[in-house]
Amino acid sequence: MAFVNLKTKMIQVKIVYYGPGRGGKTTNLEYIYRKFHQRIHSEMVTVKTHGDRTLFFDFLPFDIGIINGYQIKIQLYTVPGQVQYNATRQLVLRGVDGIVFVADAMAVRRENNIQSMKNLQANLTSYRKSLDTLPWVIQYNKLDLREQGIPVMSVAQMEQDLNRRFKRPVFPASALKGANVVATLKKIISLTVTSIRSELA
Amino acid sequence: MAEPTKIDALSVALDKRLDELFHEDEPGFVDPEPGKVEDSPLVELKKIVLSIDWEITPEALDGFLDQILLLREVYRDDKVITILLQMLGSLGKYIQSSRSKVHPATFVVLNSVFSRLEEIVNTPNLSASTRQNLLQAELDSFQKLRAKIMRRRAVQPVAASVAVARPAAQGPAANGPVTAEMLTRMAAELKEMIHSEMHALRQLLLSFVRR
Repeated sequence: MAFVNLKTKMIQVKIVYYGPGRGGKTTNLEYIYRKFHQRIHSEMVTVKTHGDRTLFFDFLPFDIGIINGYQIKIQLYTVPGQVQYNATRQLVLRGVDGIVFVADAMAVRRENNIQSMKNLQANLTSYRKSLDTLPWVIQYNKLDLREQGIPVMSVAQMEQDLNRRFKRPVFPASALKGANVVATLKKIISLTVTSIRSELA
Repeated sequence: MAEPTKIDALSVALDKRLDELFHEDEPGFVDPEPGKVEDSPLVELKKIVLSIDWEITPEALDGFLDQILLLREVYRDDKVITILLQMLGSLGKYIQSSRSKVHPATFVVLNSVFSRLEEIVNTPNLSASTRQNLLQAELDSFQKLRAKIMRRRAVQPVAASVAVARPAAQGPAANGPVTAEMLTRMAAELKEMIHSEMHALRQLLLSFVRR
């Protein structure tokens, strides 16, 4: 559940970009920050430490103002995609309200996507949350690599692998070029805030 | 549950605010870092090279070698680029196998070869002789590094590991005496490199089949 202060009418929404390593999660946040930082008046924070207590994520907070009487603050996080950083992923998922699953469309990353999705489901279970109930969307990133002759999967293939059961909103994207980065962000904020408001009422 | 009308009103207000905040067509907004690099097939490789510079992880090295394999396929008809990619692949395998024992000059050579590759890929109108000269400079550095690694190994023999493999267009043997032990080790390294290449090729073929 989001952090809600009924007295001050403030809602803090935590959205996590999840997915396999090198899939483009950080690139999504970097694009948003680079393009809109003057408008959202925010700074992007990257935490990179190494060792047993690994914390390695990106953090981009911003305020979208007062909507229907509530001040809404959004916090975007990424998780480290590398397999060995699961403790960090679990930590970042704590208190998550909405998720963007960033899948890597490169054909050689198919198994990584599937494993990452399974890992997400397992980690959510530890917080008694589920992909069946949480607001979340999928972004199929790097589809533009096809133009460069690099083998990428079709959207249909990735839908079959990752979204067959859930039927969540999907966004074919190129985070590097910014294609559908904003559409993904708007959709997950919209779904998540609506879901929180629904729980509050 | 909230009343549907309240939720609808919230959604409308929220969408309107999000459109205001994240409207992308406003004059004065500059596309994020437009330029050759973002349009280049080397984008992913560059990210990995930069990350390796900061921290070497098994995943980064796997990704590096995956990218080399993909790019070799993309540029299979370009001999100069193929040789540069071969050099990068050999350096990647050497770093992967030697880890903490890697020769410190390796990263200088790796960055230099990558910069040259980037220059050649992003400048399609370079003359053949310029391309050849650029390649030769990198081959020389690569050769010198290889000689340093072999000398170090001759002095301090280490457990069997994959060394910098020799690209197809490389020149004559490096300076220094060639011992029987070095030849044996080179043969083992070559064998391992071929094994590794075949494995990567199999993975690539599998990915094509899955498509």
